[in-house]
Amino acid sequence: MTPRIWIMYLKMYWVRLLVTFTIILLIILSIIGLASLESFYRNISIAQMPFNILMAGLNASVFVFMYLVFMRGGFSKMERSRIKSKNVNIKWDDVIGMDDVKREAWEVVELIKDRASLRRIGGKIIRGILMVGPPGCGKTYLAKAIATEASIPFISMSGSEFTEIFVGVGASRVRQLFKKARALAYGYGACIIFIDELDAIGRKRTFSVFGGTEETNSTQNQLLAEMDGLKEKQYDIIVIGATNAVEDILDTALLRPGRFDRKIYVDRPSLEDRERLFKYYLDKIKYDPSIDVGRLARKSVYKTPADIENIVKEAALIAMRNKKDTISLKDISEAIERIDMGIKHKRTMTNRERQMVAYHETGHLVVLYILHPTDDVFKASIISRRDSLGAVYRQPREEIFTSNEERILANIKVSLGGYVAEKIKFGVTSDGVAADFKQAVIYAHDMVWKYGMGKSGFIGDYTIVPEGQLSESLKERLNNETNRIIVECEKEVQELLKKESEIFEHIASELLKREELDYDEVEEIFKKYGKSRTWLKTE
Amino acid sequence: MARVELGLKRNKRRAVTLFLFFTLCLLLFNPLGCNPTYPKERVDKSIINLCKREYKVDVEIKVVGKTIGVYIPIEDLIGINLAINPDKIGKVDDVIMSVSRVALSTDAKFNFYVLVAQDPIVPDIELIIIRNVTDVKRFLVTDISQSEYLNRMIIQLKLTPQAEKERVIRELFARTGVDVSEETIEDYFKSGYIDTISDIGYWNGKFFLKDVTMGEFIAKQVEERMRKDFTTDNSLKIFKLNFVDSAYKNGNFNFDFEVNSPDAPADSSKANRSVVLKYIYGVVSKVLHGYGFQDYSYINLSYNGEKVVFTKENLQDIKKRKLKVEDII
Repeated sequence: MTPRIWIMYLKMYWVRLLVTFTIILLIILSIIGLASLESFYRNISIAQMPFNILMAGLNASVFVFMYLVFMRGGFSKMERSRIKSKNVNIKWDDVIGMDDVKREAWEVVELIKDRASLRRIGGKIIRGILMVGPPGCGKTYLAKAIATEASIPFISMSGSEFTEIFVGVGASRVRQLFKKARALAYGYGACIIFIDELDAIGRKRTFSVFGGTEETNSTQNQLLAEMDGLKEKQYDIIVIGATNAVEDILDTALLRPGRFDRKIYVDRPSLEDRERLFKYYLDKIKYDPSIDVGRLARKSVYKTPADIENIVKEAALIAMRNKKDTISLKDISEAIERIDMGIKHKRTMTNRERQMVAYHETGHLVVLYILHPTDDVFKASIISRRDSLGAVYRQPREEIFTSNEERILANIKVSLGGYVAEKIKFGVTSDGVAADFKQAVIYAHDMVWKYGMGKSGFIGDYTIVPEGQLSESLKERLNNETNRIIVECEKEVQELLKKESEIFEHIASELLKREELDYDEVEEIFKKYGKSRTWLKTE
Repeated sequence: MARVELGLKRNKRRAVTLFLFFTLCLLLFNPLGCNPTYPKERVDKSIINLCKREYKVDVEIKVVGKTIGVYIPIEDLIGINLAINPDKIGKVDDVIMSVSRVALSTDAKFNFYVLVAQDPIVPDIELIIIRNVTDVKRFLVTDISQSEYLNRMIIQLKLTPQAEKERVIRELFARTGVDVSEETIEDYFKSGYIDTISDIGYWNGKFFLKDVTMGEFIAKQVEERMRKDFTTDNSLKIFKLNFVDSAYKNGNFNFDFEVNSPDAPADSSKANRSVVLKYIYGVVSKVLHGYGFQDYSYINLSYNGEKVVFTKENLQDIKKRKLKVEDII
């Protein structure tokens, strides 16, 4: 170890060293003191020592308990004040998929590794990296991998650990964090601070007209000050922030160059990435080699790496419960269903109610299968899960990031499918259509008010115009257009269900009989009637 | 998972560090606790040196079995009224302190120590103090109160038994008209054997000491307690203890005492008898219980010549409230 490392340790742990030295000194003095006693008194002292230590410990515990309860508001605060310095050991290859993100992150690693030469030519190291993306996509994992690859210390803290009811505590923790990071950077040349859930302290600051300020303001101010301070002192500290929140939520001061210079968008994995993720997690357990990983990847559209890990874990549990040695495709499918749809719980329903639910779901299913251009049915069920009596589970064939008019209209039609089915079959409808209507109206409203997809020629986003500035006639026309879309869709759905009444009745009766229909079973029924899915036709 | 493993590793490391720390402490403290300050081979010298070095007092030591005897000559110990000179008590205390320290911090397992103090000018009178070493330990760890500690100590100011014997021998020879030589007298005391703890004494440069047993000590302690209580206890002030003697022989306690109540009405003798015997029972039972002493069969009380016998079982039954003292007395 170099002298710098020794000095770094001295700076970092001087309190611990002092305490250790004092304890050793006290022990030596105790031994000398005891040695000078006659053996009887020495024995008594030694015999009483455990009891005295116990009593001292008890007294200290009572004192700490009282102090925390009455002065600091409980034990949770103690836990929060902790700063974790970890020996991370996540290899670059352990980060599966997200090649683009990794490429961006690799640049950062190289910058950190090459910081000396960068400084020689007068360049400055990146101070902050902001990782934005949905939860479970591997932001923390990637940050750890950066730390491992760059071979520098890594301090991790969650944004919520800074928030306190007491003003100033959060700011003090930021100071502590950077103090520790500076000490580590002094010893090892650089240090990474990883702040998870950055939005907890990085939200736009609020300023009261009365001069008051929020606790998060002072915490964020301290963070900004510390990040500026890094430049002055030439410490190579890289702050990596991670958030699920969109950038707009974060304070602009945090996002300006010099703070979080670089933004990395860590998105959900693509089809190939999901395939590799499934392969990676399945390789850790025993699984049936006939499992088609590609099919699993296709079944798990929009799933994050954390979801995929969870699916494999859940499948392992299911296999274990069924006393199997290896995980089969069925176990994985069950795991996906359990995670996506929740656990089944049977409700006792009347026959009439059960029929209504079955026909309602059949309505959704038939419309979805025949009319929807992108989405696929993967299960229909009339078994209660969570708060629904039945459901048709669907997912797009592949990630779709935009929706065109056709897709939105199909969504409206699918939503109305349940209502129309009840109307055709029973002549009356139930209140189970409320959620469907809500969905349909939102789509139709957005088509007219926001996306300019109406036929009346209204183009523009009218939702951003204050309501008072919109004329009543304009609002009326927009609403009429919204209603027209709904009515037309309803008409189209009615025609479809009447036309496909055979399939409609068949599926409903199958649902009533089996309670659940899987992807393959649905496919089979439609094939029997010579139908194939829309997206297959358009491919 | 990696985080959990790291945490476990850290916990293991901490556990090992703590274990090593406590082992080190034990290794350091253990030898300190084991080595006696005064090894048993040098107990006598240790007491002599301690008294000499710290209190400037010369003492003579004799060890018999598990009893340490200390003889201390103190000039002017006995006043002209044949009582202890209060100014000299300090020296006795100093020697007691020294003996206690050695008895407690030695690997020799002593049960009792006996201190015999005499005025070299009046060796016919001696002050005897007998202490149980365990009592001293218990007092120091506040297991017994100070008053109880003092009650457990036997303190007697009495004629030196060997002086009395010598006087009797000389009178016997004088009556027969035979001149007795010093050698003859010495012959009588040559063996140094003594039968009871009442015979402990120092005479003509010879220490007469026996190994004190717990039975004897208890018997003597009860005797001393009776002497004290009959003069200080308000409930017993109407009585006068004229004579008391105690002995522990062959596993039996014998307490012989004469008590009268000169100022009490004539018809109260039966009630008085009950009070006295109950009191005696109380003292004996308390002392026996205090030491957890079981090595006896009978307790024979001789009250003004009347015999009352308590068996060990009687004492146990009374304690368990299966029997009343009145049923025995």
